[in-house]
Amino acid sequence: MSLFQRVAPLKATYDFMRSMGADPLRVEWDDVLSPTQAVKNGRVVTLAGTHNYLGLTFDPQVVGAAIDSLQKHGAGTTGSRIANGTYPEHAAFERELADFFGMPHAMVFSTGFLANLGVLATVAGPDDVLLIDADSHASIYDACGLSKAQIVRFRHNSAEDLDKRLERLKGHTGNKIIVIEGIYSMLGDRGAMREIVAVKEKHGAYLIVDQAHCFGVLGENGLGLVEEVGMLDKADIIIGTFSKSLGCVGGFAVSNLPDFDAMRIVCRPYMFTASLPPSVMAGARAALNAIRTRPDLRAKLWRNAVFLYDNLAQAGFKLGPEKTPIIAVELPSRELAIDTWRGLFDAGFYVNLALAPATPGGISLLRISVSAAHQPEQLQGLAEALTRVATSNGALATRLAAE
Amino acid sequence: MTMVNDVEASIIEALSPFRRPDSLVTGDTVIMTDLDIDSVVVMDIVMELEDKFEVSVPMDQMARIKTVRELAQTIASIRSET
Ligand SMILES: Cc1ncc(COP(=O)(O)O)c(C=O)c1O
Repeated sequence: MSLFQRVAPLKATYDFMRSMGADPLRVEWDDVLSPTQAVKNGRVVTLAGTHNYLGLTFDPQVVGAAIDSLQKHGAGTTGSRIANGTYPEHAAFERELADFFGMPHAMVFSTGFLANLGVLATVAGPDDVLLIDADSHASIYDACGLSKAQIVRFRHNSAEDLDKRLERLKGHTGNKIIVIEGIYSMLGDRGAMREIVAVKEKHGAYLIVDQAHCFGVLGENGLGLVEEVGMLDKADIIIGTFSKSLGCVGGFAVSNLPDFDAMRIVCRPYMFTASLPPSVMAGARAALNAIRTRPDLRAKLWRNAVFLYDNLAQAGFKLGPEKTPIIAVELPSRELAIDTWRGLFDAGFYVNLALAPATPGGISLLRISVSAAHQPEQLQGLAEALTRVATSNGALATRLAAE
Repeated sequence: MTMVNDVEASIIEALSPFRRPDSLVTGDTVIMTDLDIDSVVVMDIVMELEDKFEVSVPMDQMARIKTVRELAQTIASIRSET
């Protein structure tokens, strides 16, 4: 049997996209010009699917700090922190991040994916139970595969369903660890943190919140959903990434748990992979500073998100349930979603295509991520192009007829 | 054994929409390869069955289950333990 036999159904979906003239998973840019613009075949494309929420990738302070550090401390660390030591940039970032959250512990990982693998697989041992939301990110599912714990999946954002599943575990003596996200990346809806915290407390469970899409985005100070709902102290561990609002690459975990530092000597995805280059840490540190000192970025992001959401709702599209910077546009079929993605790309707008099995309930989605760096004309242009394409291929009419 | 048969009947009913043309879902059906179904849909169906029979089938245990009958036996045995 071929080594790839098992993945044949996924490959079939991919081949089907390509047969329709779309290759959304392998777009190669000729050039990248700014947080919102790249070049393809000599034409400028507006980027609206890159989760660059605050547009900090080209920020002069972020780039400047990275360059300084690159010149001062070199291109890479050539190994992990347990083997090669901690650079001043790692230590400074961790201190500032912990301070920002007002928590004693902050730990940097080489990506957010590794932060989830490392944290979940380390804290959940063979006698424990990990309870994860059905719509969890791939890195959370893979962390469950790596962990020796029992894995229980609960219905998306349903505290009631979680409660029922915890009830069934009544006699179980190990730790119960609930994992939720701040903003879910498929539909852009917030985690039901308040309700889930009530269930967590009722059952004496722990709670981990992955804030990949809401750090720098939600909350008065940008601390994410935990801040927005006033429950900073209710999450036992908070996970985050540098790859979205911070505009760099990397991951982190912050915590109030007294023994959290033990992670540094037992967490394998932290110990056995190279630490981030000092230049990346310096850039992320400047980006963190921007989150702390430039609330105007967050305000602009939300103005843009609401503007585009309202525009698309007005045009008749079926959108995700909440107005957030991730705007999910549901299309009536896989074919129409692929065709609309392609039409939009040809019109000069890049968004993400998401199909079953990656989507909840197997629906077909275009996922748009809005940035503070978007100009209103870019978003207006996107809304118009999407409406035009979805009208001409019938996607919008099919949807309106189905109402 | 009626419990296993009960569970098996429910699984067969839930999986029938995913059968290939000219085939039936039986106890011997291998869920991931004999049906046109992806793993997320299987997880969603298992969630329905969990509620119907008031059990939790841990995902790590699911990974070892291949056939409809194995799934039925697992659910029945978890149920009898509680
Ligand atoms: C919810 C969630 N967690 C974790 C990650 C992984 O982050 P990173 O890009 O830093 O690996 C992502 C990124 O897509 C995500 O959406």
